[in-house]
Amino acid sequence: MNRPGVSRLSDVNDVNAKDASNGHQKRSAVKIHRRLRFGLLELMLATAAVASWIPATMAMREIPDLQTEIAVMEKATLQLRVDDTSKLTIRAMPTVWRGLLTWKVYVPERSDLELRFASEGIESNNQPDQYDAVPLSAGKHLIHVKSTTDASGVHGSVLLDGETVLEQHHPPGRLRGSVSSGSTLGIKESKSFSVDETVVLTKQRFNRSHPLRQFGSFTLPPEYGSRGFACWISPAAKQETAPRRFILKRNRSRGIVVGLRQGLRISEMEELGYPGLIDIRPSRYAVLGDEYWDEKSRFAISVVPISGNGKDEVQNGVNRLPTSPQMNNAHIALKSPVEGEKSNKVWTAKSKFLPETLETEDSLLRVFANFNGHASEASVEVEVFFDPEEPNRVGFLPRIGDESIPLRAIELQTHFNSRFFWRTIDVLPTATSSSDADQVDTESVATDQLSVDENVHRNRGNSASQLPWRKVRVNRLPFGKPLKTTAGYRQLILRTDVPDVTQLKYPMGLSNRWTYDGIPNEQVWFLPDVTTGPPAERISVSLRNTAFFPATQSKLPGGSAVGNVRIRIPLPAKKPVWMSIRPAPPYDQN
Amino acid sequence: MLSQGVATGIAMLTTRLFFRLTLLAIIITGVFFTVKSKRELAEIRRQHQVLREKVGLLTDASDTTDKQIHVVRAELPDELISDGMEEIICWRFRLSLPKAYDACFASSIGLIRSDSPGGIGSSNTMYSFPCAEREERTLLVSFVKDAGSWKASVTEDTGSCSFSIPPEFPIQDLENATVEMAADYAVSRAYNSGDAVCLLRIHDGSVANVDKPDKDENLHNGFVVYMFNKEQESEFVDWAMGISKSMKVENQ
Repeated sequence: MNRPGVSRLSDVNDVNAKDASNGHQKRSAVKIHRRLRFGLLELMLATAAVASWIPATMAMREIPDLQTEIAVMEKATLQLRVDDTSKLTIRAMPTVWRGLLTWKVYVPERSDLELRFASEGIESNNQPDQYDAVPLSAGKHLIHVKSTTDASGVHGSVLLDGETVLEQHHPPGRLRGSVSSGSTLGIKESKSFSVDETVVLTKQRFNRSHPLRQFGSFTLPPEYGSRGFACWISPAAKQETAPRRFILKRNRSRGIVVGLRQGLRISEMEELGYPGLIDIRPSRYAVLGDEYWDEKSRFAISVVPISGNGKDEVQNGVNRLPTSPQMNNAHIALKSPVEGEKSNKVWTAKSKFLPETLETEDSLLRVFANFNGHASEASVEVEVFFDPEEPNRVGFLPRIGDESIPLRAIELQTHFNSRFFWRTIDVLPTATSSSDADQVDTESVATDQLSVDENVHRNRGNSASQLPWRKVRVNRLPFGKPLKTTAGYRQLILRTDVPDVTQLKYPMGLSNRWTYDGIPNEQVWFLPDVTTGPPAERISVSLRNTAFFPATQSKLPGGSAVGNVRIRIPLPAKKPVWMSIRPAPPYDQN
Repeated sequence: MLSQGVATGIAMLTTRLFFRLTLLAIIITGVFFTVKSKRELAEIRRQHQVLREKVGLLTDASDTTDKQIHVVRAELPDELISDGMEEIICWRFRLSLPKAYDACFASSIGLIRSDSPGGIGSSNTMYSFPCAEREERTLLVSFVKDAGSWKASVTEDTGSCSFSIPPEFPIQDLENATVEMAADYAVSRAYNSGDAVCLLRIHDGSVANVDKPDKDENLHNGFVVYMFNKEQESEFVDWAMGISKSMKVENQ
């Protein structure tokens, strides 16, 4: 405790310390005072320093905003912006009018590109292999594709920097000059492409006039070659590949769809009450004008195994195995077309990857439809043939499947025929010998005038409302060639007596599935001529008319028509039978 | 003491000199950057001005809260309209549409009204799709002479339509015709998205000779294109048919 008047050592020390501290603070104050002292010059310089940066700062703040607005406006100016001079750069211009499409193009140095233009065979996947071309020099170009229609047809031209360099013409006729589907490069901004790739500028497929109606048009499927105009940029050295002949798709409801790109196809399809079904999609040229082909099966063939072991249930000693709902519909399998049947590569609808192409050195495409699950353990494999030369035709060669019970024959039976109104059959006149058959004209006989097939025990399987099966005498069928070089076949030709289905009055409420809007067509079978062979090896044919549309109680306008055709093929079969749905004259000229 | 004072004086002078030089350097750099940025800014402003005159600037098109339609007229480059056709007259509009706006374009040619849609002649309505967010679309109206005859074409980003031009249409006398546009070059105009916007109306001055006792003096030979939201289609149709005198749409 400190008392007043008494100093201690610590107090003396404190006083000394305070003196020292005060001296130091004074010196520091002098120093600080000296350091912080500014003159007028410094003040002016500092002011100028600040002022000198104000405009720059203001400008820096304004520039990014302006640049953003410029970038937005540049897009609207339609300028071609080339960011990489080593790449082909394209910008599509707005369409001034429907007949004129325009692009700005930058072509790099040493790129060796050409502009190609075609008017036929335009399809979705590939570019036509028939085209005219003009080289594209390096630099910027303006390309127009112009189409006009007048009394002499539809005319297409390509203008390069204002000069017409390529022209194509479509004569007037069945072509309707409107674009059914067109793809045009996007218009929002410039796009760059490698100089090695093909760039499609436009692909326009024209609608076709409906073959029967005065007004209306229809569109071919995208994979069918169509008339129109296609313009694309391609490396000059690149040859366009020949169009694909075959097509393979996986469809969610149909499973595998396989066949001819521009012709008949088959697919897997389930249909309640129709076991052993293989769906047939005729060539679009055989049903020209018809629509709704992607809904459900509208024509199909079922495979029925015939046992050779059962007791004679019918007069000719064969036993039709009872319909088995468990029998699966066609399970289509593709075997490597290059390596043929011996390959172990098999693709089915469940395969993760399907081959991108089915092209083969062979002129025919072969696929396999397997039918299993029959209650009797019958198993059938049908080899299916497609020939690109015959777009309306498909061949079937049935075999007994692995681990099947013995089979005597296979029956192929058509379904859903009646919507096509086939009512007559071509037969040779009675007492025509085989040697004269080529020289004799055939007669047209109504299918309901054929004799009832007595071999079918009480027309087994028919309900009271069903009409009887009628027998077709194969030896009265005319000869024909399913392929150019294949002789020894008889032809079963069913024709319609309705020249124009658009004049028919369909029953009220009939599903679109069963109406038919297309050209008259024919169902044709090419059957190996085994009429002189032993009875067990002979192919037999019967057919049954129906008064109703398929699976309905709606009556056919004009009376009954063919509802089913049944072809019984004894096993083992050596040659395939061929089935065709082909356009009737005069619609068979495309 | 003396030497210490001299040393202090020298140090002070050095410090002040350094300070002055630093300020000078800042001034020089500032002037340099000012000149540089001014030049840059001038160039950018020039570009901006050129572009603005050519294609217009849509007012704050990125503002997602803005519910209005902005329209500005834009040029079409000469090279696009000189090649491949004999003659062309065109109007191009940039449209900034708010989110969810489902643009429809109703065009008519023939006898049209000077203050409302509808009339007597050919007409077409093009539908597009609702805007997922604020979007810019382009509408191009062109009158094209090809193979000796004139055609009118209305093209939007998602579709197009065309008309044959009736002989009474004043295509050869557009200088004396009345031409009304939703917006001109450079400056955008804003419209309520609940209203129908008359993008372009062209008509002659004379009153059409309609063979009716109650001759409609509001009908003229011409062409018109309106844009409206599909939600207001019935109100637009009523207006076009003369059932109502305006769109009569509740405020958006």
